[in-house]
Amino acid sequence: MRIGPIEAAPGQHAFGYIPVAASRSGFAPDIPVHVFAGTQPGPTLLVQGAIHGAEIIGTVAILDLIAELDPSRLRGNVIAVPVVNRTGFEFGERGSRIDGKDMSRLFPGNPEGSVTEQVAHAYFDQVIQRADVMLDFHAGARTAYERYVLFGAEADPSNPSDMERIRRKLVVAFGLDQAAFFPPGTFGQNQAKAAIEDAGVVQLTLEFGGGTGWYANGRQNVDDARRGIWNTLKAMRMVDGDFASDGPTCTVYNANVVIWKPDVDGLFLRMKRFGDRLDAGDVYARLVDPVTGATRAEIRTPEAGIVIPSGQEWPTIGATSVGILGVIDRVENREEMDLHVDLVPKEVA
Amino acid sequence: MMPTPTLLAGVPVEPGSHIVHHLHAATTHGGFDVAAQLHLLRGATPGPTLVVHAGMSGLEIEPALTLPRWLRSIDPRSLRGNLIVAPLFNLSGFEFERIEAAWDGADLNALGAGRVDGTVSEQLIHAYASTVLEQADAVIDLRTGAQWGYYRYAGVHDVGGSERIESSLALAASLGLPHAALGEPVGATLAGAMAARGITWVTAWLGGGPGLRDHREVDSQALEHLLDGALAHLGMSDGSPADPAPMLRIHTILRPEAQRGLTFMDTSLRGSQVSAGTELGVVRDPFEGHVVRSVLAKRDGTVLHAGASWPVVPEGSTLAILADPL
Repeated sequence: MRIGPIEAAPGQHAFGYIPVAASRSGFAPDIPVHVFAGTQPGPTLLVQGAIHGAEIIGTVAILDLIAELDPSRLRGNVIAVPVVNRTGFEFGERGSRIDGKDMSRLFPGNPEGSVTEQVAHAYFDQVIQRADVMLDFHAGARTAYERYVLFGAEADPSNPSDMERIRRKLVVAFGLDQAAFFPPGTFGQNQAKAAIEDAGVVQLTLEFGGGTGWYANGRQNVDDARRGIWNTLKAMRMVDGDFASDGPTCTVYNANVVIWKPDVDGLFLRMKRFGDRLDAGDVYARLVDPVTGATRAEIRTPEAGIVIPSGQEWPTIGATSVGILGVIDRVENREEMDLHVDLVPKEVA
Repeated sequence: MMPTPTLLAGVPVEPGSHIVHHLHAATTHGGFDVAAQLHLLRGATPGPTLVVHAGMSGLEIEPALTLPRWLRSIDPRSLRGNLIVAPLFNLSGFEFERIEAAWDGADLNALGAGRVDGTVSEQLIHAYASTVLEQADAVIDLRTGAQWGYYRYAGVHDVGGSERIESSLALAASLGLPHAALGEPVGATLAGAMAARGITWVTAWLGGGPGLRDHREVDSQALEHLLDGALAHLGMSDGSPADPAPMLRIHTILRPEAQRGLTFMDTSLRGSQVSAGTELGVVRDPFEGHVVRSVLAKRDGTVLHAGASWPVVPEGSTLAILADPL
């Protein structure tokens, strides 16, 4: 398999960088890519981390996977990209400091655009389009903690498309006990996700870990992320083996309530834990004066729901969502499902 | 003990009362106020003056979640002496989420005792040192690991004479933290400048963002316990000080050097005895995953701290601290 200048013969692992656009000073955030070419035909899995540069739990899991993956025992190909957004990674930031843009929103990119638009174009063209399935690792960076599989809302849940049927299985196969989808338009229009799906790539987003949990939970989150990648390889029939998971069920939430930070600011103090049930109007968090401790604002949920494992922990917050509530859409039972998916590979090793 | 002041931070405070004071120090060219917000508590009976401040770094903000609550538990009518508390000193750093003061980029911990005719931050530190710290019988400088580290020890600077050092160590040992350690870096710190003037000073390292999710209440209670212990130790309350902590002398502070990458420190080593050459952590290549460097103990010692908790560490971060018994 050849990705840009990186070529792996069957049974081999190759590593290199995809050249991308340079900034005004010549700084070029070339993208590091590992290619594992299997010895038998099969689909291609792309695993990527740190497209938001500070969200690095998936990065560590991918590095661990790289040390374990034996291409001679692989059916199909694995493309592993531990850090997509090198400038964001360098500066511990979500987007790119070169032009302030968020690459994850820019696909399919623009070869004539800003540096990040050009990077997005090169990455989409040379990497993403080659995949059958894409695992995109996100996290809470240093300020929030997350733990669920995120996937796109289905147009007609009673009549899912072939891609949506495959995705449903992969969501459960990944092995977490919780998954969620957002109603369309929750965070604005995302043409990038549509571009990826239009390219025939089944996409899962993993919201996994975060800094405020790293001290106690970092290693466990990395191990669970790596377990999820292996589960996906098994589900895609690229390797053999049994699935491992948090437990027999995966609760799928319709994450229909996003709690936003109000205009008032202060030290953020979350009052609710994951799994708590809130009624409309209940207090989710408080903003307190850092000197007197007086409450400046109570952040209340506009609608009832259950706190899904996603939310701000650190006491200072930007203009962002601080919590997500959902209602249970369904509970999937792994023990009653065949988690394997059959894909028509784009690539032949 | 210093004579009981009639003014606290330059303002009158009635015995048995608690006020919040805005200590104005300077004005920026854009007209913004450079100031500190201080709680001033004057006890009903005379006694020592304890100053507690946190958030000299605009990112070390966690104590501000606890200090106002703790202050509400203090009845100044039953207090002996005076208590001055700045829950979040570096307000501009907090506002703009940075270590330094936003107005002039100055690290408030690195300006010595400030200058009356210096930058606005130097003026702020000068005002604070001259009107507040010089009144103090004891100062507790609360530090945390912000978003990168997780700490638990009380540090003392090895300057200012044996009497000052002994009183600082005694205070440090009374705070309920696992260790009291002599050998905090001095450099151009405010702590060093005030210690050189003979003021009892403890830099208490407690908590950090990585513990917020899992240890928020534990750390908050530990901070309240620490402050209660200080009041008891100084005779300002009727409480009991914590059992004395073992005392150590810091001999090694490890920071990022040579190869950079994803840094993983073995936090489980904290408090344990290690020998020279023990691997305290590793640095991994962020794109290929292999270990590019082992972080090794350079000599035998007790691991006082083994951060950082977040794998991407800013330059100059403390990765580990080793110490010997004092």
